[in-house]
Parts: sequence; structure tokens; C-alpha cells
Amino acid sequence: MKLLEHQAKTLFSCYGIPVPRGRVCGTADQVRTAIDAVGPEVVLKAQVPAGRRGKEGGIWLGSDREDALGVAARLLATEVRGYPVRELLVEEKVPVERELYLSVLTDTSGSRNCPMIMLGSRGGMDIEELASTDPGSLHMVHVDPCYGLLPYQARYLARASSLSPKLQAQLVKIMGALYRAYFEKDAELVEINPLVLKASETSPALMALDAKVTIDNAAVFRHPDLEGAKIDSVETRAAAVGLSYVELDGNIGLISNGAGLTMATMDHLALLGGSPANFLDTGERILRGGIPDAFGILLANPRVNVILINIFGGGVRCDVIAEKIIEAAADLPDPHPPIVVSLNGRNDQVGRRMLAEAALRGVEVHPTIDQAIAAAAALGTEP
Amino acid sequence: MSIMIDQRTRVVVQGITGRFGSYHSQRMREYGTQVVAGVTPGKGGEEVGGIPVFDSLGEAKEATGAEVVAVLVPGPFVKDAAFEAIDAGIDLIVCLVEGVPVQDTMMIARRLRESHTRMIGPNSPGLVSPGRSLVGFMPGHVYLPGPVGIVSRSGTFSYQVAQALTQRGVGQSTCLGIGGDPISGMSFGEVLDLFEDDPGTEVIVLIGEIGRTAEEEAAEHIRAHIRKPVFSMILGATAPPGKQMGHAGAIITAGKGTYASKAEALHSAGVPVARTASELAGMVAEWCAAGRRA
Repeated sequence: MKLLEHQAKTLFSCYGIPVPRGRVCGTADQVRTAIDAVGPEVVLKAQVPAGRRGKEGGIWLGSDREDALGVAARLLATEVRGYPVRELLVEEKVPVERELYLSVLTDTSGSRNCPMIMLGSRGGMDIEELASTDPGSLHMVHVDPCYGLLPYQARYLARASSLSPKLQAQLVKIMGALYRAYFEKDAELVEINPLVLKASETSPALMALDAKVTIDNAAVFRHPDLEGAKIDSVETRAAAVGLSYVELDGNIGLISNGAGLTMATMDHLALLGGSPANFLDTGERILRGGIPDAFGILLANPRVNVILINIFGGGVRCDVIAEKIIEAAADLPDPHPPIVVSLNGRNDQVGRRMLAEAALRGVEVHPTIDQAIAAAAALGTEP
Repeated sequence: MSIMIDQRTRVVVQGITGRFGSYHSQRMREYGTQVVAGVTPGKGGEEVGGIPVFDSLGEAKEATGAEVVAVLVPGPFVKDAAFEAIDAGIDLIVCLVEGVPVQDTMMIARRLRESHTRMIGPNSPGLVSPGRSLVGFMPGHVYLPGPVGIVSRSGTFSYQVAQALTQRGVGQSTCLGIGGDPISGMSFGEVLDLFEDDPGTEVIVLIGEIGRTAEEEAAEHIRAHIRKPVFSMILGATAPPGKQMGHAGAIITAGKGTYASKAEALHSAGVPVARTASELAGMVAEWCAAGRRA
């Protein structure tokens, strides 16, 4: 679950990490009030659960009030990176002397399987970009989750920042707070990019100019206090009925079971020149509404002109699945895209025979996976 | 021969009174697995299909001598179940549960380092030594005893590969799923070492998928330590970056975990990378046929 920037910043504030003064606005009127409160120089930031907003016009800086209101009205009526902008964060513009990078994430490489805290003595750009262009600016420490981030580890990283001793002490505090947020909130990633040194003659200080927090989906139940970005997409609607779905840009709709088998089927279709329209793993919903729900999702995609059902009966029996397909087929629109079926595993011969005997219109059953995939790919590439 | 489980292995099921627990206990038993006990706190003294239920794993182990635990409790309870198993001195935890909080798995993995217990999973389909024992969800009928060791991140697809091998008359020593989560107990490398040392395994099949760096590390491990032939396949060539493909661990992030990087790593370690299940099974069957002629 991704938090929106303002949600992440509220969380950071709770942990004592300084963030710019700001207000969340859903209307131009609210933006007007917010500018009065935090302006005159402000930053408008579209609240969408995606990075690189700046490159798509999702971030605006300026001091002219009327311009700001115009931009706010336009942003609130548009999409940024494919997400409708429902809220803007209106923040004070912070004078920046220097940008750094700071994050905590779970490092699963090399069976390390532990938290890793990473400091970049440069910030602002994508971490991937930083890692490839200036790897020497990145410093990391692995943390034993039993004991947490120890002060000496934070001090070691802070020294790499070459900030003044006073600011290093502040950085150590921020690292401790960020680690606690990661750990206590079951985050996959907490990231401050950039962490800025606010220019000030009297009291320079570090501040989180941006905030990115991703909570482990499997642990969301432990954090009823956290509200993530509400994303209304065909993927989230599928997830709500227990189907794992990802839309792709092809035309061959796919219904399969098991993440691996589904990916393998997509790859195999592509190998034969076909183009999968989606990843859809029915998981254990297959016997409980999974097939009609999957038909519904696939048929709502106007690009889908062939449907391939590839099921391996491991835990489930193919005769039971055949029954479910026959039931669901009765409710299909007429006409519907041709459906190619492959059933393998437990009782596959019985399942195939049941489907053949049902003689469903527009449904063909193949004895092997390879034949079914080839048939679907051929139908999908017909001019 | 096989790795980690055989016909003598005694298995206890944590969460045996649940829907999955009771169903899969019976399925395992039908396969021939010695399911000797179940554990559900508060239900000690009951029976599930003739299998005695205990309140704690310690009691179950004491009464039955079980060495292996199959975990079938809901995700939020897995950490407790795994720690109980480690403290009871169980040899192998087979964690079949999907939806375990990643930081819970991280803590389990940390605790495993200080014990002799090993864990397969979470989000694993289990493991099967054909004709001997099955601990997990695998469809027993597709397997045949033989010389091929299969280690996979995926469940269903590994069943399909096993079936394709069986249909070609090529059997398997042990087939094992390390699980589709971001953190796995046993790594590819640890399983490959067991296959390398197992006299019953002559050839190894490794099935990876996009996301994480497990396949790149496996390729390095094979180059350095594995003498037996390895054939492989990577799933998710067509998966777009940044999208999670079903498994919590199957996501390409920050340019890492791509198909190309994994396939390239395996190729350069001398491991052929097949593109479909039948191609993979064909390669292995051909190797076996050539070996038998030699």
C-alpha cells in the first residue's frame, strides 16, 4: 500500500522528522486559504501514488497567487501519471542549500533479509540514476532487525554526509526516526528524496522535502490508523474480488491459476507472436466465482478479442473447473470473443470431455497446453 | 533418493483444524506421507480424520517424534507458529502460507540463523519426493520417482513441468518450491547444494521468475559449486516493470530483477534457459536419454 505524499509527511511529523508547512486541498478555494497560511511563495504538488510527478507537470513552484490558483484548478481537473488528481499539497517554498537522499528498505538480496539504511550525499534525482551515475555518493548500513539501528551506525552514515557536526547530530536523529517509522509501520520502503538542508543564515536545518512510504500489503491489517492512496483501477477492483490482475497492452485475454503458470502462459503467447492483454491469476477463488468474475473483467477490456483459459488442476480437480466454465459460459454475451481452453492436472480428461460434450458455442478445448496456446495466439494474430 | 523428506519422515500440521489444514492433511496422508499429529491451540485431545491434535507443537513433537512441520495457519499467525517450531527443535518448517507480513518473515529468517531448523517458504507449494512423501499442496499424481531434482519459485508452473517430464517417462527425485514471497527461508543455493549431494539426483531443474536477485545469485552459486547439469527457465519475460505479478516477490523494481538479467546470468554460468515447459522437459529428457546410452 502506497501512502500519498501528504500521508507520508504526516507520518514523518509524528516521528519528529521536520517537513515543510503545508495543507492538503481538494478545491481551488482551499488552495486560496492555504496560500494565505503558508505563502506567499508556495509549491503545489499533485497527490498521486506515483513518482516523477515533476516531469509530468504535477509540481508547480511560484509566488503569483493568481497563477497558483489557475494551476491548482487545472491540476485538480487532470491526471498525472495516469492517476486523477483529487488533492493538492500546498507547501511553503523552502530555500534549499543542499540535497541529500535517505531511505530504509528491506534488503532481500544475497539472503541478507534485513533492513538497510541508505544515505546519499547527493539527492533529488532518482535513486537508480544516482546508483548508476555516482555510486560513490551512496553509503549503506545493514541493520540487525533484533536490535534495530544502533547510534554508531547512524553516526557512521552521518559522517559520510560531510555536514557540520551540529547537522550531523540532526541527521542521526532523523535516521533513528525514519528507521522506527519503517519498523513500527511494517514498511517496505520509507524514503526521503530529497532530504534538504534549508538555507538559513541563523539556523540551517534538515527537512524532508518529499516523502515516500510503501506499507507491506500483507501487514496492512496491523495498521488500521494508516490510510493509503485510494486507487480506483481495474486492478484494485479485481483484487477486491480476490483476483490478481494486471492489465497489459495486448489483445489475448488470459485466465490462469498460479502466478508462475500465468506468467509462463503470457511469455509463451508472446513467443508465438501473440500479445497478452493481461495477467490474471484466479488463485483460490477459482471455484468461488473466480471464472465469471474473470470473464467480466476481460470482456470489459475492448481490446480483448480472444480469451485463453489455462488451468492446471493441482489442488482443484479439472472436472469441477469444467463445471464452473460451463456455468459461467451460460451468462456470456452473444456473440463473445472465441474462448480457448486448456485443462491439465487432476481429472483433466474428464474435464475436457465434459467441455466437449457441453458443445459451448465459441469455446474450443485443446488436449495440451502447447496446442491451446498456439490456437489462442493464432486467433489473436488473425488480421 | 530424495532430499529432506522420505517415507520415514514424520510430519505435524500446524493449523490442522482449519479448512486448509484438515483438507491438505488428508491429501498428504493419501499420498503416503506420515502425518502423525496436528496442532491447534485449545483443541488438544481432538482428532482430525484420525490424526491426533495437540495444543502445542512441543507436546506434539514429544508424543510423536515429528521432524517436519507443515504450517497452514493464517498469515498473521505464521511468525508465532514458526518460532514455536524453532524452539521445539523441529528440523524443517514447510511454510505453505501466502500473505505473511514480510517483516515477520524477516524476524523468522533472523531466528533461523541461530538454530539448526530450516524453513521452506513462506508462500511455498511445499515439496514432494515422488513415491515417498509429500508435504504441501502439490498434485501427487503428476510425479514419478526418478533422477530430476526440481527447485522453483512458482508452484503451479512447477507442477506443469513435472507433468511434462513424467509424460516423457522421466521421473523426479524431489520437487521443491522455495516460495513466491520477497523473503524465502531456504535459498536456491541451499537447495542446489542438497541436490548436488543427493546420490538420487542426476540432473537439476531451476525455475525462477522476475523480481528479486535470487536467480542471479543461483547462477553464481552454480558456477562455483554445482557440478551436476542444471536446466532452467525464468518466468515473466513479458511482465512490465513496476507491476507485481501475483507473487509478492515478482516485481521488477529500479531496473533490478528483469528477465534479461536473470537469463543472462544463467546463460553465462552455462545453464540453458528454456522458454516453455515442454522445451524445458524436452531438454532434460534428452539429457537423461543421452546419459543412459552413455
